[in-house]
Amino acid sequence: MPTPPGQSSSQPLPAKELGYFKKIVKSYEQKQYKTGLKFAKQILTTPGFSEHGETLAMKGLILNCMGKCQEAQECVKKGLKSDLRSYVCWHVYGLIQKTEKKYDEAVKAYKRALMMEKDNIQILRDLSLLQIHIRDFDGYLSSKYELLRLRQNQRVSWLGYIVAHHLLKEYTLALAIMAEYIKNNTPPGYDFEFSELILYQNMIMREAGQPDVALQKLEENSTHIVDKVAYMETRANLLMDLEQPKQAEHVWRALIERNPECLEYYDKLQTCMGIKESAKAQLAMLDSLSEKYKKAAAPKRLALYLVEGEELRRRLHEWMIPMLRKGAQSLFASLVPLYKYPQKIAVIESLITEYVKKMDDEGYGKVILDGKPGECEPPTTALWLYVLAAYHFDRCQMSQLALNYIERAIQHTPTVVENYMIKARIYKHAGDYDEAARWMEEAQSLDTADRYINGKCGKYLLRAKRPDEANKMLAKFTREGENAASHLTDMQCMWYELESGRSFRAMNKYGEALRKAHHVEFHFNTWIDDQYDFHTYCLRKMTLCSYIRLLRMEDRLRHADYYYQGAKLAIKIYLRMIDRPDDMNEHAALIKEGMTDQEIKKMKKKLKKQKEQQEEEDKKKKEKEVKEDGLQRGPQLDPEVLLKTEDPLGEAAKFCHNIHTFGTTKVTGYALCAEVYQRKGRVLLALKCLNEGVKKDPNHPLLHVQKVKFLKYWPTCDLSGLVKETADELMESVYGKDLNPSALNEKFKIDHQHQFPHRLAYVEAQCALDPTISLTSWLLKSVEDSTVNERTLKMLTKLKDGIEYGKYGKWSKDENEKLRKLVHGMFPLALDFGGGVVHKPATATEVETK
Amino acid sequence: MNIRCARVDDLMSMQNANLMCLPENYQMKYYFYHALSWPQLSYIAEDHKGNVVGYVLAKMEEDPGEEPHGHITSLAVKRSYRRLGLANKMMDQTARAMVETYNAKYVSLHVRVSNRAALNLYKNTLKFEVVDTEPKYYADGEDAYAMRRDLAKWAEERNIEPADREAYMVSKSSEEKKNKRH
Repeated sequence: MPTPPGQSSSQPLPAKELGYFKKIVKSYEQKQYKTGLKFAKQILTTPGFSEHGETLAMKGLILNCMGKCQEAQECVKKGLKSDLRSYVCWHVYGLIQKTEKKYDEAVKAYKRALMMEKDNIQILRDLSLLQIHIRDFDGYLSSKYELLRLRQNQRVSWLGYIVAHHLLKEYTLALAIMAEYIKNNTPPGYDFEFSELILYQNMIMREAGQPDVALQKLEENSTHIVDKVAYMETRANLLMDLEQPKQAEHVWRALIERNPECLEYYDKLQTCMGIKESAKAQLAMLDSLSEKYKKAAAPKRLALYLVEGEELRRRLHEWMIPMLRKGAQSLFASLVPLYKYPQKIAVIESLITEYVKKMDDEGYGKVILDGKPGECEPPTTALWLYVLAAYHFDRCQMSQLALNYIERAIQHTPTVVENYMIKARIYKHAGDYDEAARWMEEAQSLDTADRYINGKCGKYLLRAKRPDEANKMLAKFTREGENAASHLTDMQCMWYELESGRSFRAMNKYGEALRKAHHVEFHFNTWIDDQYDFHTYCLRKMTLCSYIRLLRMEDRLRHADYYYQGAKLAIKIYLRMIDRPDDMNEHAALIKEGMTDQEIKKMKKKLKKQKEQQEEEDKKKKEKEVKEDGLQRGPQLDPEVLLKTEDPLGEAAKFCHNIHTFGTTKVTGYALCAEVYQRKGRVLLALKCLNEGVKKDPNHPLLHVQKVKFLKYWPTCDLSGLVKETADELMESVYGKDLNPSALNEKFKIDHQHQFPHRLAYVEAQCALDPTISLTSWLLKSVEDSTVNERTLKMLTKLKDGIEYGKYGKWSKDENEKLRKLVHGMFPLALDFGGGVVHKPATATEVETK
Repeated sequence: MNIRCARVDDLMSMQNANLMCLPENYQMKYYFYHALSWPQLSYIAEDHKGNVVGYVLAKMEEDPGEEPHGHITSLAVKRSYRRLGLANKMMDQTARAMVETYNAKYVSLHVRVSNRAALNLYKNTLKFEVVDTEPKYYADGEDAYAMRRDLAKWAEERNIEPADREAYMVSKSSEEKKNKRH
């Protein structure tokens, strides 16, 4: 006999109170929380029942649903204490732990509850959901077994049991139960769920390494499968696995017929035809398909990437002219893959200049670009040609030429919004963020109904360190009367979190920047939690292939670039807190070298006053926000509190933990983690990260710096036993035999002498080995040296920031000025090096054409 | 651009594209809900780096009293990727899956009455028709046009096999009868 709630052995309730208790449960189920609390009060104020465990548990559960988590916790704990033998108290305790994300605690609590109430379906369900959530597949299987035992007639019981076996890679069992289930449940006609089930069966068979059986079953059930794309793709892949390329080829061709824009199909078709090595055969195949599917862009575009020289020129000509006529701005995007090869860039450039010359010579009212007799070009062809030229020269870092062309486009048609967007983009790439924002604002004003431009404008304003204006701009497309930032956080808008975080960092507002980085972490945690409901939902809906893919995607969720970017932002700020604590005062930068003590004092006083004013304003702003929002949603983080952390290294390590345990695709991610772990004295973790980094890209400059730093640190590590053995193995894997940091660094210098980023890495590592060394003049020479590659504005800005941070040794005022002048000569528009467009007050509104 | 059926792995990039292009936004869970309920229906267009530049987020309306029909929850193409026919190509893939997998008779959507560019695309390129105006449909108080595109005839012309031919034909002929009566 199951014990009814409210009647646990130690504290049975009399009839009247029991009636109240039942009403609490009912109110909870119907989400009538206030009513529920009223009935709880009735019991708890009755003499003798003020400590009634199960009532306290229910009260806590309700409080939790109302968002009063602290109070809920206390209530539930009190309830549990007064009735340790009640399964209800343990169950509720588990539920509360779950909402606090203390999953291990929750699992333990559910299990305690089940010890008292073995066959309680609800607790078993909650337990199994949590087990799959934390990927305790063994536990999940045993819970699913119990549920199946208790509810053999329910479909979800069977499916859950099959999924559990599948996830444990117990394919034979999973398939045997599946076969049994299918035998007894095959529908006569159309049944979406059955179609999904057959595809799931096929997924398990393929993962079990049984392509032959999989294909056979797929064919047997082909009439049941209504997901045609999945059916055909699966079939084609299976035929390839079974080495029947001819048959597979037919299926890929049929898929191309369905969707000629899917690139995977072309790739697989080439494999089946055995023409992966022959560009000529691939071209013939693509040409015949493009002949067959005239509207398809993919075969024509793919062919562009296979050819060079005259042939590329001919094909580009055919590709570009219709796009220019149509005004498809994405023409440039389709060319981007060609920019990896200097010779191909030259072909593009010669075509563009040829077109422009023809336009200029013949006048764009009369010109025919493709030389075929007939009607002449529409007037917009010239416009889009100038746009293409602007894109091209921007890409080639020839800002001035790019600006000239976009200016011609603007003169041609001043009302086209894109022109101003591209102009803004050129300025951005050239390093003049102020001018870039100015032109994006211009573009925005021409089309205020378009969110895309609005967002771009917000982004550019953030780059120009104008976050307040950015928010005002972005608020035009967020909920009315609400501040844009909190709405965008609500909507999990990652680009905004990252851009505004970087903007604050650039303004030395490290607390605000940290807050944004923590928002990124918050969103990822939300997305992990989001899967919870689908553990039940998908078993009911039968969308099991998609469900399994969801689980796997969640397991590598933190591989996403957004996560890496957010974590990097946070980790670097935490390291800065340790390395340069004075920076955390956002006005520190105003106190410059060479100021007298009195000046500094005066400045500090002024800043203190400013800060107080600012705090007062912030407080008011916050109060207003709270009032407007009523209840505050989302992550509640205080920048000031984040800045005052006692343990910045520990905070950084939390982000590192997520990067390296979930794995990252970025070698720089491992380099960053190695740095944090080394500082924490976690030798093995640091080595593991270095090792993973080496596997990704052994010569990456940032990884190299970390390798040298670690090698210097290595002799000071005092290890023994198994830890030492493991560490020695990893050392060998990362470094080989030679453990001399200077030698490693010198070799790196010689091996990569023509790469600017590698030269920076060499100097940073050298300065870490010997802080007295000065390589300033060598770096300055490198900046000028035309035999050194990748002297991009981005890298030069990194050099500048690194000098300030102290990574590259001591730089005198003169040396800094020399660097500034050098870079200014190379990138005259870069604000960071004293460049940029100068607006005289009187002509500020005039269009600048330099 | 590469056009293919959306997978759960694409949803983050899809959410990003939505936030860049449209004022109506959704939290990730809503994207999960689509992908895990109707895995065949949503499509993306991606650039060579794998960024989503356009998408169709679609679902089925499963009211028991109504004919099965699809619904476009959201459709967007980034501004710099327009005029390539991406929306058209994605919508055709989605429509086809709606018929083949779910027996959809038509597909519906909502559009802001002020959004002339979108209205033009739906009407002239994708052959949707306005069937109704829904007052104050959007959060900011703007009205929406409810639009529909018939799929039965479209599918027949292209030899697209519905999920359940018999049921598809039955409801079609009953509708024809209804039309005759009017």
